Amino acid sequence: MSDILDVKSTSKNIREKESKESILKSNSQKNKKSNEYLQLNGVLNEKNNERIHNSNKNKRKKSRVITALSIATAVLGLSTIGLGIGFAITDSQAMKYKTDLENVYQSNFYSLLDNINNLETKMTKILNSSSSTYQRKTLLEVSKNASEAEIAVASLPFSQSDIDETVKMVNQISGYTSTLADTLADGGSLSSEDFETLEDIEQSVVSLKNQLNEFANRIKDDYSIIDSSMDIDTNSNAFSRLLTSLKDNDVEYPSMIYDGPFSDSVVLSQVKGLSGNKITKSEAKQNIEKLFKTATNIENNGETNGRFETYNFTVKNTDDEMLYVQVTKIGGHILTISGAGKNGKENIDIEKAKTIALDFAKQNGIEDGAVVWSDSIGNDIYLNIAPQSQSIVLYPDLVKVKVNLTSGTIVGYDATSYFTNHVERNLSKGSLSLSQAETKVPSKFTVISSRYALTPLDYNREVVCVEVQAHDEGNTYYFYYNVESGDMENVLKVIETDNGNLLM
Amino acid sequence: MRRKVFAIFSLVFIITLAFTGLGLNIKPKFINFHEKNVVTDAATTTAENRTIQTKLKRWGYYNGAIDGIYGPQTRAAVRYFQQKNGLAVDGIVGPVTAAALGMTLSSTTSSQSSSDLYLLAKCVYAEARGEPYTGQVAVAAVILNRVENASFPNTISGVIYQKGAFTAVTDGQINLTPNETAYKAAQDALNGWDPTYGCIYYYNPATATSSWIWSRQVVVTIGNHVFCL
Repeated sequence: MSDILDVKSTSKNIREKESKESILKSNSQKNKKSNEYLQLNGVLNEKNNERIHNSNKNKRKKSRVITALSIATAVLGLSTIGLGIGFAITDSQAMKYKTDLENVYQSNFYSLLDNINNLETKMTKILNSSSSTYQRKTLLEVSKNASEAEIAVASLPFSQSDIDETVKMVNQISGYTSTLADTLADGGSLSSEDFETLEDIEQSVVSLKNQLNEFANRIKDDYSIIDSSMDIDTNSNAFSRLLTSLKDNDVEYPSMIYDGPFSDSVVLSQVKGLSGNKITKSEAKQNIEKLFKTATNIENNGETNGRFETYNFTVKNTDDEMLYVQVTKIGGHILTISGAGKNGKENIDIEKAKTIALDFAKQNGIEDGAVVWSDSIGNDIYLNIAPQSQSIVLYPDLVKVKVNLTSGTIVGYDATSYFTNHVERNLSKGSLSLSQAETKVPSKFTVISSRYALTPLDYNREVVCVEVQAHDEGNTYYFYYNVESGDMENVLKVIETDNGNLLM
Repeated sequence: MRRKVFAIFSLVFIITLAFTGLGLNIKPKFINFHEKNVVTDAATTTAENRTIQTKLKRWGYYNGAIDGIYGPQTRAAVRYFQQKNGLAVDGIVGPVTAAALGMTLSSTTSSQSSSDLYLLAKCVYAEARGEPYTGQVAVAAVILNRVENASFPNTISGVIYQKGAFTAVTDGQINLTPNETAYKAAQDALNGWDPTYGCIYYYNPATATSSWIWSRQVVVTIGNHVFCL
């Protein structure tokens, strides 16, 4: 029984136990759950905390952004003010420079206007005068006005192509009137053609004058030459249009035919001294090879097609000497050589250099040359060699040779004058002897030497003179006396410069 | 920490900007292209520099190369020499220092008395320093041809400074110090050399923009320049 009970009790116990266990279990599960819940709560709390934390963070961030933005604004504001001040100062300075420059241009414009006005008045006076003394005096004034007008117009801010005709006109008026004044000074008189030309000039000057004066009225109303010059390419520029009107033949001016400064005949002087057959490029090269036997490399370097027609070559003469040589197509003559000599110890003296130069000139057809001038600059010496004919030195036919004193080689040669001017001439020594000429030199000078020389005077005029070299207080002068008339034609003064001597 | 950096950065930024603003009004005062060259400062030729270097090297003042270039090393050696010999210490070989070195300076390089030569050399250097020697002579010749020509001003300065005539004048390169080659080329032209035979214009076909210039009669091409009438 007890056993059964026992069993029962046991089973009960077991059940109880089981139930207890299950309760415990469920309890523990509950606990677990509540723990989980708590845990969850904890997480939520944490999250909440974090959220609170985060919102705090965000607030801080926001305030930082605001600070940053305000700093940035302040920075921008300040820098804008800084830049503003900077620009204001720069701008006011730029305005000041602009005003200064505008004033210079205005001054040049009024100088142009004054000179053209004066020039025109004086032209009418010349046309209405019969006294050669008065004509001469006034012609010289016109010449001066014209050359001042040229300086003024060239100083205005307009491109060369716009003003070239105006510049040319005033330059030629200046040259023409001074040539006429010279004619009058030599006892000549103005021909009827001269008067016609002067009348034509006067007409064109009147036209220019009227346009300039009209323009002057416009400048009064706050006109800026600088602003005007800025739109130079748009053709809206009234000023340059005024000056170009000369170009478009609105203002006609006569062609002035004279032998004086700026005459077209001087610019377009003809080549008189070239003779021989037309040669080929390879023949030209052979001519160079004959002269420069040590040359290591001779290369063709194009052609020249101007007043002279040449084949051009670069010649490597010694290791560091490059020469540029031009050989005429007609006759195959060496026309120019240019090159820079090297620096270093001078190995030859001036006498040796003269021999080298004369020898080189002889190889190029100048048989009876005389060194008439030398000038040493750095390591190079320039030697001017004039051919002689009947013991008259021919200055118009000068050739120039440059010798390097370090290498003792030819680094430059120029026979342009020789080939331009050299012709067979019939020269006479006239009636003036050398000793007679020497007595003509003012007494304060000490005469050193004298010789006959064909001298280029003015433009396109050659005269045989006696050249007398004389000294005075350390200065050297050259006097030139015409062998026919005995008149003094020219005086040259030797000016010693730091770089050698100049002949003025 | 970051804020500090930021604050410092912005402060620097403000100051920089403020100074840039102020700086703007200083800058345009001098658009200066002067490249003061030590060789011209010293006023001695390459050959003379070589002599100076040789002498200083022999006496132990200098241990650089004998290259004829009056550079900082040579200058320092000259200063050292002057200091040791009780001379005025300026690093320049003038007449006194030259005498102490036992040499005489050539008078040719002391100064330029011819303003025409100087102006011409300046223009040649600014316009054609990269060109072959003859190209430089040709540029100088063009300037002189313009002086002779009726359509141009009658002085070298008038021609060089004519508005828009030379780009190197417009952009200020004219104020660079010319080198010896430019002087030689200018001197050649003054002595009558003219490889262009009377040209009054030249242009670089690679950069020329004016259509007008193409219509001129071409005489010769030297280096990068086309010379025309």
